[in-house]
Parts: sequence; C-alpha cells; structure tokens
Amino acid sequence: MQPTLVAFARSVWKGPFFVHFPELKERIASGTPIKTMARACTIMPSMIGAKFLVHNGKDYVPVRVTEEMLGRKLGEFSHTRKTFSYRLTKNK
Amino acid sequence: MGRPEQSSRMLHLLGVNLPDQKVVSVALTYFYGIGPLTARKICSKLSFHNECKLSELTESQLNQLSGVLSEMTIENDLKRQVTANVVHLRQIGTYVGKRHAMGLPVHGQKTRNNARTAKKLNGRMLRKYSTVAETAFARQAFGMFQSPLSRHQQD
Repeated sequence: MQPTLVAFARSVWKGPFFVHFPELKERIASGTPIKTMARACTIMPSMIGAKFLVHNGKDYVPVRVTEEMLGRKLGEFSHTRKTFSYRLTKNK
Repeated sequence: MGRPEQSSRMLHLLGVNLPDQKVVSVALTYFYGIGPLTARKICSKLSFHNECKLSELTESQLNQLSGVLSEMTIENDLKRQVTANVVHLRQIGTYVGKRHAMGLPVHGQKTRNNARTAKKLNGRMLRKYSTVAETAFARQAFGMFQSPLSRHQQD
C-alpha cells in the first residue's frame, strides 16, 4: 500500500543510480566477469546475464546477475561481514 | 456474516473474532494488517462516527464493512505475501535475506547485545517455509537456507 522507505530515499526524477560499464555487451557475450567496486550501482535490465566481481572491502566476490535481481544494488550480493566462528588456537 | 440475536461479546468477521463492545476503529485493529490509521480510514470511508461501537452497527453496515475488508490484503494473504518477500530475498542471495536467515537484525542495528526482537522473529518464516518443502521453489529456498554462507563460493 505504501511505497517502501527505499523508494523514498531518492527523488524519482533522478532515476536510479547506476554506473556505466563500457564493455558490458561484449563481456556478457564472452562470459568474462567485470571487476568493479561500484557496490551502489543499481542492477539494470541491460546487465542481466553479466558476471561481476564485486568488491566487498577485501576481495572481489563473484555475482551472476539474474532477472530477479533487477532494481537491487550490486553490493547487496557481495557480503562484507565474515561470520564469527570459534576455533581453538593450536599453537599458543 | 449474520449476527446472533443475543448480544454476544464477540463478532466473527472473516475468520477473526472481534470484540463487540469496542469502538469500531479499535476493533478493526484486531486484524493482522490493519493498524489504527487504516482502521480510521475504513471508518471514515463507510461513514461510521468516531465512537460507534461494533455492536451498534446494522446488518447492512456490517456487510459493507466485510465487503471493504475482503478487498484488502490482510490476515493470511498478507502473511503469505510477507513470507514470499523474505524467501525471495533469501533466494536471490541478498544481504537482507542472509540476515533474515541468520535471525539477526536487518537494518544495521548493533548485535553486540540484545537484538532480541530480531532473534525472536527474523528467520521464522524461512524455517517454517523450509519444513513444508512442498514446491520446487520451497526446496530451492531450503537448499539455500542450509548453506547460507557457502553461497559466494558457488558461482
């Protein structure tokens, strides 16, 4: 019934924020991933099928864009936190 | 939606028991998906006055009310919609979906201590959904739930 808070965050007249990837078409055709740090880039219809390597602050995480991801940001698929898991220290 | 002749204390409307002695706008908030604001809007739409109690409504007014309610997405429909949204987020592998699966807060709150509400509520739908495992969609969601962390290594 109500637009989400995400929709409120940005004026409609600006349109979605996205980054231009110059070789996008060729990369989709050849299947080579695009290495990027643009986590805030909205996933546009032209990006469907592309492979990205999205920076998470440390590594580049592989993300394959599908139709369902439209309208989300690239960064949402590249998690930045490592889950804590307890390990006994061996060499102390 | 017939009402019994004796003044009963509860009114059964669209599968929800509403307290008869309460003001209509308050009683309507007993529905999942109707808060005070929506309840007041419904009342003004059907021109019920502010202090009108549920027991004072006539049969035709009740019919109008149930007509309005049956067109809204409330109760189980809404719950199903919410669940579907969360499962979808989980399935495409977003951060929000992951936080739901882990039962942790989604909007960047601290988790050093507390985070009680999220621990109580988040991820319940995913777990419930996964145990049903009726459709291929559910099974897929189940697979993702079992390995929430190994996802980036996969593709």
